[in-house]
Amino acid sequence: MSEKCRVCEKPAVRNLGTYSFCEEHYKAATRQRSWLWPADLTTLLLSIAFVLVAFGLDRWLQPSFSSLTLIVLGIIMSFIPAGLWLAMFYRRDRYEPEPKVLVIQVFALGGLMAWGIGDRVLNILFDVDNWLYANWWTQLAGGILVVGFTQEFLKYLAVRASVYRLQEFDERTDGIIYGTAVGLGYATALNIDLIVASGGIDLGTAAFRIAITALAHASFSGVMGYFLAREKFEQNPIWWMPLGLTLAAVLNGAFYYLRGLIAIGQITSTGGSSNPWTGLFLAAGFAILLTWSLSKLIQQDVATAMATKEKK
Amino acid sequence: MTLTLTTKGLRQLKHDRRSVLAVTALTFLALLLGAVLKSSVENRSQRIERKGVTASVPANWVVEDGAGDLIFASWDPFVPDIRYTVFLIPNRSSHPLTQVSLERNLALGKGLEGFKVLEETPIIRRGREGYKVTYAFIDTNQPGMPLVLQGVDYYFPAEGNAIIISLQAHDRDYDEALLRFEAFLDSVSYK
Repeated sequence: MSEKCRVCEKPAVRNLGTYSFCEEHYKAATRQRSWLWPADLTTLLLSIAFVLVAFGLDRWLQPSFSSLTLIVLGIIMSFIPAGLWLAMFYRRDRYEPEPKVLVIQVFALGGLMAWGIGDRVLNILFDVDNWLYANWWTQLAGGILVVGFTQEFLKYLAVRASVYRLQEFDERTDGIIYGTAVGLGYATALNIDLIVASGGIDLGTAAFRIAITALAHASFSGVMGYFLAREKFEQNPIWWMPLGLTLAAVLNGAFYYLRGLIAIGQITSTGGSSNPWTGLFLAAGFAILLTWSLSKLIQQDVATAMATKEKK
Repeated sequence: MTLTLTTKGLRQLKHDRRSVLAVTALTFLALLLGAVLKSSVENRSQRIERKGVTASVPANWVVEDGAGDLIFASWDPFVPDIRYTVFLIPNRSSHPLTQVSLERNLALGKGLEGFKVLEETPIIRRGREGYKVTYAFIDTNQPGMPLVLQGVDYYFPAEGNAIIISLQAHDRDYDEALLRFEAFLDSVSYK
């Protein structure tokens, strides 16, 4: 066999499906990071704990901050879910290390995509605030077609144009790792944008908003990352990646539609009320379900790949 | 063997490129459908009839019946600063539209802060002779900083009466609102 490795261009010694790999990257492509799912779950639980602490402190102390202080505190809080995830990542990734600089770069790229392009496309080109909420079906359809596709495509582009071609993207779980990083970056930018535009939000409300957005975007782009990783390590049909993007966009649109549906309380004679807890539980449910499903799918994919006849 | 390697590598490269193109094309298609959806939401209209005046306003807009000369007012619930109003001034067939506009401008000048007529001109719109007045004023009733609003009044004779079709919008939204207002303007009729 004189073919080149799909990842590093060295002479290939093994095949997985129609793609060829060197020994090192064959091992990487069939490796599983069994710690990833518990690490993600721990991050999720810590994010909920962060909301509880911020909400509790806000209620207990009832602090009175100036607008500037609220903005600064809000910006700092926006980085907490990403910080928790990165901390878990550093802690658990000791034996199969992923370049941390790359993970942070992808995180930053996600944020830049949100600020530089996503915000402009959604708020200036499509002016979504002025028509998306006209009725339930425009909210759902527009949420998927405009918001979902724009945000997920930008996250896809951030990973595809940066780490995807690098040798460091050499495992199936890398798709989920970089997908989560870009999603957290995107969510952090959205949260900062909201906090600055609102002139600061009280700490309890900000904690809910930050955790919900971070969990949701990390989950959607985790799905997109799974499809990207399989795209790299398997020869899939042409519709494979469009399917992945569509699924992520549908999850994105459906999540925000459901959140709006269940998080807004009954309209009473004294006005509307909202229940942020239901939004948080929905985001946590989405994150648990998707992370667990992706973990199982990767296990299954690796098992299938290993069972496929190898040729030397 | 080298030929096999090159062919396979090339095939993989082509596959990767096709995949990126497919994702990009799908996104553009989704955004195109989204633009159609946006346009359909914005252009959907409700037909309303009040005191012999019929008009089409955007489907999701609020319509409020008026009193006296005001037939109705309608506004975008998401952008309440954009407001359409229709007035019917009775028995004015003997008065020129300029006289009607003068009376209205005086009334607006008394009621609105910083009211200023920017332009007034006779017009012919879709074969109907009329009169157009554009103006600006300051809204100090909103919380926070005062807003500059722009307005345009179209005056047309209508069965012995004068009909005034009016738009008021925040200075920032005015140009965009004006484009949409034109469709409303053409939809107004009086029987």
